[in-house]
Amino acid sequence: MATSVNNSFSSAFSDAQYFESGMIRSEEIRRQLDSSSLRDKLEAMKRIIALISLGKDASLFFPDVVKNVASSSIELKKLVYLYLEHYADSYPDLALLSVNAFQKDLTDSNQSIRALALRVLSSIRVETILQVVVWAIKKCVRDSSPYVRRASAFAMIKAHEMDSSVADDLLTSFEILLNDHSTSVIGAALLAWRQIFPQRYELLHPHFRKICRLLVDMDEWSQVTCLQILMFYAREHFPMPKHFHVELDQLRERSSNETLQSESIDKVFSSKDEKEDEIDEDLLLLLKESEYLFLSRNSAVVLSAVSLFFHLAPYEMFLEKTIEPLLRLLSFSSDIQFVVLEFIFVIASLEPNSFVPYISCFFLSERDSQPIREWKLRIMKALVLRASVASLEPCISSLMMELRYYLQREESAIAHSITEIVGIIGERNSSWSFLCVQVLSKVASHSTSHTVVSKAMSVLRHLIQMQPTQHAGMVQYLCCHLMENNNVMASTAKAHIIWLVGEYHELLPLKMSVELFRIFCTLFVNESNQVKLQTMNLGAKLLAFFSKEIQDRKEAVARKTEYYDFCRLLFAYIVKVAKYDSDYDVRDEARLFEVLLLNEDHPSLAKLTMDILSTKKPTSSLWRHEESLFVAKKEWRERGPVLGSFTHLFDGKVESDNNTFLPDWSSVTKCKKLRMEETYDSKKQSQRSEIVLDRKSLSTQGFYESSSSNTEEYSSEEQSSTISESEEESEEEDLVSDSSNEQQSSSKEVDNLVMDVEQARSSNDPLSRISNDNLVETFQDLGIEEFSEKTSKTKKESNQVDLVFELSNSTFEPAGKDSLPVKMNKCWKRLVNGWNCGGIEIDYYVSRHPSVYGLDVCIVCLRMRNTNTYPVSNIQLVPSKASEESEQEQLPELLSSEEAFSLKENEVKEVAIHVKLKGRPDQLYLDLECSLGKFPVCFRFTVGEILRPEVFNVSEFEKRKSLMSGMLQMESRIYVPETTKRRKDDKVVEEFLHATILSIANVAPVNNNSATGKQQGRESTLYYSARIRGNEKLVLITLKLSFQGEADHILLLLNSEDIVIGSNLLHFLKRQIEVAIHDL
Amino acid sequence: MLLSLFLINSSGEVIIEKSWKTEHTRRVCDLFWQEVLKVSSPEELAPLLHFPKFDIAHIYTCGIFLVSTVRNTLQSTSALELLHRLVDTFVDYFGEFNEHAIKENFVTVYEIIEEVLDHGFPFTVNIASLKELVPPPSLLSRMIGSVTGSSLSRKDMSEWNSHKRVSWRNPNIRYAHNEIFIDIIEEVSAILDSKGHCIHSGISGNIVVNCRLSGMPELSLHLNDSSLAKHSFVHPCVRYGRFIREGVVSFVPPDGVFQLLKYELWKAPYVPITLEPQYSVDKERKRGRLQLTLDIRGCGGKPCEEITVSIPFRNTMNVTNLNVTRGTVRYDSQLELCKWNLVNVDSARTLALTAELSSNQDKCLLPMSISCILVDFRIVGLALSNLSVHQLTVLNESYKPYKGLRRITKSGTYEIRPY
Repeated sequence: MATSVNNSFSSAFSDAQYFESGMIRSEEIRRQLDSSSLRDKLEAMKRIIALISLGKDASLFFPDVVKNVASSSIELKKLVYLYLEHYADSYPDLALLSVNAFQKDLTDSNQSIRALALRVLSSIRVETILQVVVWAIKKCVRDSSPYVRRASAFAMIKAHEMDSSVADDLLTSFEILLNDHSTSVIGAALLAWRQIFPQRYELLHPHFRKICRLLVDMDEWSQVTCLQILMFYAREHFPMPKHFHVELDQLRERSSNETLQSESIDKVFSSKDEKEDEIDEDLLLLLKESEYLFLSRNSAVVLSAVSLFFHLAPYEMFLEKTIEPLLRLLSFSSDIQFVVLEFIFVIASLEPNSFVPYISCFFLSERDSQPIREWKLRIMKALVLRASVASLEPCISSLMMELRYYLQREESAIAHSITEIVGIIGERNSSWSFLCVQVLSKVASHSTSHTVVSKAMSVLRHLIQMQPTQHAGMVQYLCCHLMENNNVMASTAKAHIIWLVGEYHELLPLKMSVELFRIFCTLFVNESNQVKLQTMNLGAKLLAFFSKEIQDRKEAVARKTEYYDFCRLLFAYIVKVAKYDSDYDVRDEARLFEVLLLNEDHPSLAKLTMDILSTKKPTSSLWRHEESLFVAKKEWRERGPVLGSFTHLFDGKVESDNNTFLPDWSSVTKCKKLRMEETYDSKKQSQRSEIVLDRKSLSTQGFYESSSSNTEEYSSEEQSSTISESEEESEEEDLVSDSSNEQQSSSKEVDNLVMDVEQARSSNDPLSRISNDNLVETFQDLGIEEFSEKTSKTKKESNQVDLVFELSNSTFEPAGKDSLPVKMNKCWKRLVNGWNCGGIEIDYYVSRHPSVYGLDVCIVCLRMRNTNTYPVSNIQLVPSKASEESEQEQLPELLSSEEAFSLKENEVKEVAIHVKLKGRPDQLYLDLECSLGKFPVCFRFTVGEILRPEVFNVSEFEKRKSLMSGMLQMESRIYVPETTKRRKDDKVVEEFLHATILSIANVAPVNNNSATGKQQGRESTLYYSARIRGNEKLVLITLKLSFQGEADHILLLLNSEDIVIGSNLLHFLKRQIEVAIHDL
Repeated sequence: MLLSLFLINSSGEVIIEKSWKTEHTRRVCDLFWQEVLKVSSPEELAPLLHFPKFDIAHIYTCGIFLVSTVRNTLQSTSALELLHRLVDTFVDYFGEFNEHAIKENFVTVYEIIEEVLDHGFPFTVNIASLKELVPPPSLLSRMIGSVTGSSLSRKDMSEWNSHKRVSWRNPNIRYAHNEIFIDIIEEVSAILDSKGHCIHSGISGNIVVNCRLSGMPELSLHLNDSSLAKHSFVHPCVRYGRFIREGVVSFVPPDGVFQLLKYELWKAPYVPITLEPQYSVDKERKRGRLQLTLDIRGCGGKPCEEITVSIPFRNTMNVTNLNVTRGTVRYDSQLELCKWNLVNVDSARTLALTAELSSNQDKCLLPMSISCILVDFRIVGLALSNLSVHQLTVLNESYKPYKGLRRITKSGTYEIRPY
């Protein structure tokens, strides 16, 4: 009673109703979503989710749902997130509305909300928010909660999937994750490694041993990932262990005496000194640690460990460790059994003797499904094919009983494979052959299933044909059986028996075969085609035999002549009947025999035919034939696809991509030093030099192909000392001053800046406090070299800064696509090198001079140099065709450029182009046309360059800022390192910051008259404002410097009407400032 | 790993849909369903299927297909294992797994999928951690929800969950009575021939623990067979190293019922039940008598709680004069299945079943018209491998818990060849 009440009660509140109710009215749902009641909203969301489940399109609610994203109820939030993930990619613009809610949630105090926000944010497949995602990831890798850090690793994968170019940007964040102390985070980080940085082993070297040791403590799914990664790692870095392949004599030894391999395994693990030269110690560590995982209850872990041992371990060790766990896995659910059986199949065909004692595990059970039965039979077949006779001996009788049972069960689906197994057994050993023939004949004579009988008979015929004299009794038995039960037998079986009798009639009493022939002649008309054909065959053979005997005039000729005449009469009769048969085969054969044998005119023809008929038929070996078909070869361990991968399971059907094939063993131990767990500093040192080596070795393998020259460039820069760096620099300067055009073009810039500076000095703003040195630096940043020559001391300092920028660049973007290591605070950037652009080398910088075409247009100065040894003419920059076709509205647009011109060898020319920006820091695609051809050129604006300065005073600034609060405000903190604090005065830091900001972003400083007065204690504030070129949206930057005791930090506040650009800019500024300040 | 996940009921209707790749929509299911229609029963379908543009991994339980498209992964079972884990989770949450339970709780199902899988990769699979994030549905919360719209107060994920030392246990569990129950459950699988000889036998054992202990107890379980580690799969909470070296299972248990250890033994020391079929056939092979002799032996004096012998017939036989010395017997002519039920049989007994068979077909080969005979049984108080617990010690906590041990032997696939 109580339960029934309970049931009806619960069904009243059941959620299942949402699936049934056909009355889903969109207005109703909309109303509920707009209602203030949480209950209504929840119900509406449930309805919508049910709609999605039912396969209906619920996207029309998108605007209404997005409104609820900021709800405080977690339940509602989760449902909204679910919806967003489902539809966001079809409504990218509307999805952007939710970004701010996520950003707010990312700072929530509840770790699960932070993680949820990050996970959903990264799951929304809208490319425009990619920078926000990257920014969020960088924030979250430093989160206090491992749960959030784990989520950030997953977010990396998703961001990378959206746009693979973020990989380099995420590298540092990734390294932080890999250094984490929580196994759940490391596990996730390794997953990210595989998805984002495959093959970049230099990231893993210092962690290799740590990962091996932590393997047991990780969660099951991370274990799977780790085992796979480490398997590839080991192949790439370790030489092949000495006993990886089994030696032939060893194999023979084992098969002869069945001593199990236990002692030799102990050797591998115990007596280390002996084994040291045979197996790398790190590989041994990996094997030892992964051995524990055979205990895991997760089949994926166990099977991964099995394939690791299969592909890496010395032969004996692999055999000892893997077989038991594999067999144990057979007690798992049927689908897992299916995969396990495929594993066993491969290993069993390599090493059958070890599986033979367990052959009863592969006996078919009533409850096995068809796919599993097939695999079990395949394994049995592999065992009888490959195992040694000696090891098979003890179990052969039970195996034969089992096989006979299957045949008696008359299942046509598996009959073929079973009879084949029986045939192979019979062929393997002549003493087993009798057993097989007996079983098969019994089945063939008693079974009612035609398929089973015909399969059994064909194998039986094959076995008898191999050793006819031994099985003469069997032929006789079959013949008698056929005569007795010819009405119940399958026609195929009959045909086979008749053929046997015809072929081996010499082994039977003569009368018997003649009698059989007689019986079938009387039944001829009603028999099937095959029987008819075989009856004619039998008659022909008998005729041939008797005529030969008569000619040879051996004993008892009289009786034979009698038989001959008898047979001839019968034969003539059936040939006559057969000539009018409905089947053309029968008719043909009848006519053929009539001409050949019954033709009185040409006795020689008859004789020849008889010779042909009585020749011994060649026998083929079923065993050899089957063995040659086998897929599993000895080389599999070294070269085959990874055991258990889809390439293995769907052999041949999946196009094999290289990821499922292991690389060849390394010839020597690689990078051994790097795996040593040293103190942090020395580790870093050695790591760096190794990265260089590693990349060089990789550069030929395709992954780094595109950037191989770049990486080499990095390596030289990274290794070179400061001195050589400055030398290099001065060389460049020489080159710059050589070009006469240079000074002209930049003079305008100089004027502009000097004006700015003077203006700043006259007012009482922070700029006035900037020392001369820093000013020079600022100028230098803008590419005006002559100023830098004033003081050599400043120059040296700025060079250091340069170096820092370079290094930071190379770590953030080691595989930069379109630029060489860029000197951020020097204006000229290399756009293309001569060698990939017809010998024309292009440098560029974005000028801050206003363009005559409008506020949203900026000027890009290009410096082209012809590095060829011959002149190039007709050089012109035109918009790229490809970008025109794509019609992306937000791409920058080329407004004007110069007329076509020509360059003599080594001539340098500067041109300016005007580019209209559309509010996004996107790439500009151009084609460089010249007499040599057409070359694609593309450059990317940094987010600081798409701004234009907008001047405000402080009160106006504050007013605007207050209007852009809430979702339009973003903030970030930059910590000032201890060392910088100690060495530098606060003022210097402030001035330095000011200079940095002006150099990296085209913003206007706000005249801050009162700021100095307001300076409370050790706090000061800097303000900048700008508008985004293209959409004229406002960007306000506030820098709060507080120098209070220990907690020295800079608060970077950014208000922007454009969230995406805002977050990009914030992130950009932060990065640049952090790098700059670190080396101040 | 997974690119999409669908729950499909036995009539091919999609109940739950989740896709992490835009191109993997429910059109995938149509292709999958075509494959299902090709086979006679859902179990016959291979668990991994290959299509030109994607691969499918699926499992089928309780009338539900869990279908997922997968990447070309290096380890094909991980997808299957993950789907099984999902089913286990649903069972844990809803107490059952079927179409009704899913529809009833579809929002929770979505929430669980969302937490367990992030972008198709396993994220929070551990049930203990999961329950912190997605509270299991209860009648109370549903009532409150339907009235007020909000659920019971959700607290922040507790600290233990994030500090993953022991991710499977919440340290704040308190019980008034501390109890721990250990069940050793052994399933005997065997294939016997018609003479009662054992062709194949094996024991697959489980140690299931029902743990109701407070705090963070540290348990060590000493078994009488210290070499068990060679034959076992264990729960991740067990310290692998110690188990392999000393054969001692030491662990911090999760709360509630869980499977601590799973072991496989190749040969059962003996088979508790044998069944011998005997036939007598008349000359025309049209009529015959079947006699089954059932022997129960060596159950350590423990009675067999229940025995069911199922004898499937083929080739439309007429079964008459069914007689048994004990228990009840029924013949279902629809299924052509004869069932013999016995309860509480003492060991060392011999029982028999006789039946007269006749066929109205032309030919009747009597033994061939019986398929494999299946036996189900259950013996309480016995572990066939004689595995037992020597000692169970609780460290780290001061209380003395109540400890219970139970041993059960059941039948796995226990079949007797009729000829």
